[in-house]
Amino acid sequence: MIFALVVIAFVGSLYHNLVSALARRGMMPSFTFLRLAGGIDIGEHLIPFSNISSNARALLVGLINTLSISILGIFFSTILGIIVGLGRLSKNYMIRKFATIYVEFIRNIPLLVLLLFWYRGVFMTLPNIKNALIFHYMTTSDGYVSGLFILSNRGTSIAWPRRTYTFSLYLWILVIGMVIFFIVANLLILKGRRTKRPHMITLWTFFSFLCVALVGWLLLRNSPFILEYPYIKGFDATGGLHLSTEYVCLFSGLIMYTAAYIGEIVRAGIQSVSKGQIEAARSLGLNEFQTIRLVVFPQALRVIIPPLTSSYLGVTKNTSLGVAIGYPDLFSVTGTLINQTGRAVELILIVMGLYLSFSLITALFMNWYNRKVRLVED
Amino acid sequence: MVITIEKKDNDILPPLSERISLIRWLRKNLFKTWYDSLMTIFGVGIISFILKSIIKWSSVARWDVIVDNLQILLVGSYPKDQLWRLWLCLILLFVISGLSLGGRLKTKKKIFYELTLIPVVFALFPFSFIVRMYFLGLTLALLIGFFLSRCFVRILQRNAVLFLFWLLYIPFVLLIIAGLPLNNAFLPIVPSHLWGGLLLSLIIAIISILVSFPVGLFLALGRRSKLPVIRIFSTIIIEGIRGVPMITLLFLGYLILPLFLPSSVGLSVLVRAMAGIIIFHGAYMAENIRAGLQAIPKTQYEASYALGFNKFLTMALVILPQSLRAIIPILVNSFTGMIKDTSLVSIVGLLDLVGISTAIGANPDYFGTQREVLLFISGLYFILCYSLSKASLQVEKSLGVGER
Repeated sequence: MIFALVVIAFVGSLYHNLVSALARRGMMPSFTFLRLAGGIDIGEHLIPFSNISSNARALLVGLINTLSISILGIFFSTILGIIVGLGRLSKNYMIRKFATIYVEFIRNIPLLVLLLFWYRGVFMTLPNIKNALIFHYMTTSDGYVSGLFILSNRGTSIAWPRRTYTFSLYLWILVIGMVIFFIVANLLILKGRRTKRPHMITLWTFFSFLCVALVGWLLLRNSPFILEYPYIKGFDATGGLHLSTEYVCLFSGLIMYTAAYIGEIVRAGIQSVSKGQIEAARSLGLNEFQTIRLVVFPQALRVIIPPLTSSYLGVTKNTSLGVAIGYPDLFSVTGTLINQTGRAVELILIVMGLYLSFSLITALFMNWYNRKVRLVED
Repeated sequence: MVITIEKKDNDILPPLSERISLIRWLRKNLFKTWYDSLMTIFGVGIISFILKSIIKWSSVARWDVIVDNLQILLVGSYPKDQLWRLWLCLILLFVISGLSLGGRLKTKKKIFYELTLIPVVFALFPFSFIVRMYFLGLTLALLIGFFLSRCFVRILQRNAVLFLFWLLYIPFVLLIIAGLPLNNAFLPIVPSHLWGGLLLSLIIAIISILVSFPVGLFLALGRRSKLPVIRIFSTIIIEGIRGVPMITLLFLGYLILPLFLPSSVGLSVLVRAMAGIIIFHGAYMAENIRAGLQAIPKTQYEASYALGFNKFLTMALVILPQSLRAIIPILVNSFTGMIKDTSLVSIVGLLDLVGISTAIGANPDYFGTQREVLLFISGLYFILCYSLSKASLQVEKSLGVGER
C-alpha cells in the first residue's frame, strides 16, 4: 500500500516536471506535427517520397526500410548461421577451427565496431565509379562498360532479372501451377489415408509445380524475364539492381554478426541430441543424411527455436545501428525528425511503440511455430 | 555435412601406434572422405588467400596512427599532468590482486605468473622511460601485495577482508579519477567530458554492471511478487524494455530524462547515457536473475522458514546465493554484452573508444587510416570480452557449478 502510494507520488512528480518543462519550451505534447511537411530528404525510399511529404510518411519510409533489411537479414543469417553451426561440428579439423575462430572473434567485438569497420574500412575505400571493380567485364552495344557486378564507393550494382511483355502471361501459367500443386497435394493426402502410408507430399507437390513452371517457360516464345546487366553511364551505374553502400554494409554486417550467434544456437541444439539416437537411427539402416534430416534435426529444432526467437528479435533491434553509418532506417529517420521538429517525447514514444510491436509480432509467430515442433507428450 | 557429437573419454588412450603419427592424423582429420578432402583443399585455398591479403595489407598499413594516438585512444583527453592518478589505480588493482592471490597460490598459479609477467613484457616495449618504470611498478605492486598477505596471514587472508578491499576499490578509484570536490591542489577535479577512450568505456561498463545488477534484482523480485500491482508493473517494465533497441533507451536518457527532472538538476551527458544503459541492461539482468530464482526448489524456502529465517533472510542467505551460482555463465554473458554495448554511447556524442576512433578519422593527418584504428579497438574489445568469458570458466570451476 505504502509502496503503491510512493510509486504514484513519484510518477506524478515526474509527470509534473515533464509537463512544466514542455510548457516552458512551448511544446505541449501533441501529434499534429506528423501531418506537416518535414522538408527532409531520405536517400532510400521504397515508396514515393520527397521533401514535401509529411512527417508521418517519412516515418513510414524508415519503417519499410527497417522491415526490408530485417526480414532479408533474418533469412540470410539463418542460412549462414546453420552453415557456421554445422562447420563447428564438422569432423574436418580445418573447417571446425575456422568456424570456431569466426564465432569467437565476432561474438567478442561490438556490432557497432564491425559495422563501422565494414563501412569506413572496406566499402568507403572501394575505388570510385571510373575505376569500379567489375566482375565479368564486358561492354554494351553502345559502348558503355558493363558487368555482372559493379562495385564502387557509390554502391553496388548487380545484374537482375527484368520483366518482359510475356510476364503477365507467365503469371497465369504459375497460377495453373499452383492449382496443380493443390490437386497433387490433395490426391497424395487421400492416397496416404487409403494406404495408411505417408508419401513425400512436399517433394512431389513442389516437383509438379516446378514442372509446370519450366514447361511454361519453354513454351513461351520470349522468356518472361531477361537478365539486365548494370552499366556505367556518366557518374553512376544504371540498370540491374542498385544497392546503396549503406544498405549493403548494414546488411552484410548484420548477417555476419547474427550468423555467429545463430551458429552457436544450432551447435548447442545439435549437441543436445543424445548419441544413442544417432546410433539407433544408423542401426535401423538410415544413412547419414537421413539420420540428420529425420532424427537429429527434428529433435534439435526443439532446443533451437526459443533462443533463435530472441536472435531474430535482435536482428530487428540491431537494424537501428544503421544510424551510425547513415542508413535511413526507422531510428535514423526519427533522429532526423527530432532535430527538425524538436518533438523528442512524441517521436521516441512512437518509435519505441513500433519496435515493441515488431518484437511482439515476431515473438507471437515464433511461439506459434514452437508449439508446432515441441515434444508432444501423451 | 558430417556431424560429431562430443564424447569425453580421456581416460581411454588409443593404442600407441595410433597416437603419434602426422599422416594418420591428417588422414583422420582432414582427408577422411572425398568430400572432406575437397573441402580441405578449398578451405586451404581460401585461408591462404585471406592470410596473403592480410599480410600484404599490414605491411603497407599506417600503424603510426596507433602509435601517435595511443594515449588518446586509451584515456582520451585526460590531463597529462594528472596521468599518475590512473597509474595509481592500476597499481592499487595489482596490490589487491596480490593480496587475493596470497592465500590461493596453489590453485591460481597460472594467473599469478600471468599478472607478474605481462607488465614486464610491456616494459620491454619502447615506451617512454617513466611509463616503463610504471609497468615495472605494477609487477612490484603485485609482489608487495603477495608478500603482505603471506606475512599477515591472520588478517589479510580472510575472505571478508579481501571482499571489503574489492568493494571499496571501485568507489575509491572513481574518486581518484574524478578528483575531490574540494578546491585542492592534490586531486583537482577532472570533469567527465575529458575522460575518453578505453578509460571511459571501462568506467561506463563497470558502473553499468554494478548498478544494473541491483536494478535487475529488484525487478526480478517484483515480477515474482504476490502483490498484483508490483508484479504487473515490473512485468510491463521488463517486457517493454526488452522489446526495444538499446539505442532508443540511450536517446530516452539523453533527450527526455532531463525533461522529467526538476530544471535545477543538470546531468552530464555521461550520466544520462549511463542511465539508458542501466535501465536497458537492468531489464535483461532481471530475466537472468528470475531464471536463477526459478531453478531453486520450493523445499529450500520451506526448510529455511522452518529454521526460523524471515523472508528477507531467506532471500539473502539461502535463495540468492544458490541462484546466483547457477546463473554465473549467463551473467558473464550479459556482462560481455554490456561491455560491447558501451560502444553505442558514441552515437550520443561521448568519446569512448568508438567515438575517439571517429574523431581520429576526422583528423586530416590521419585520413584513410580507419581500418588500422578500428582493428586496434576491436582487438581491445576482444581482449576484454574474451578474457572475461575465460575468467568466468575459472569462477565456475572454483564454485563447483553443476557439481554440487
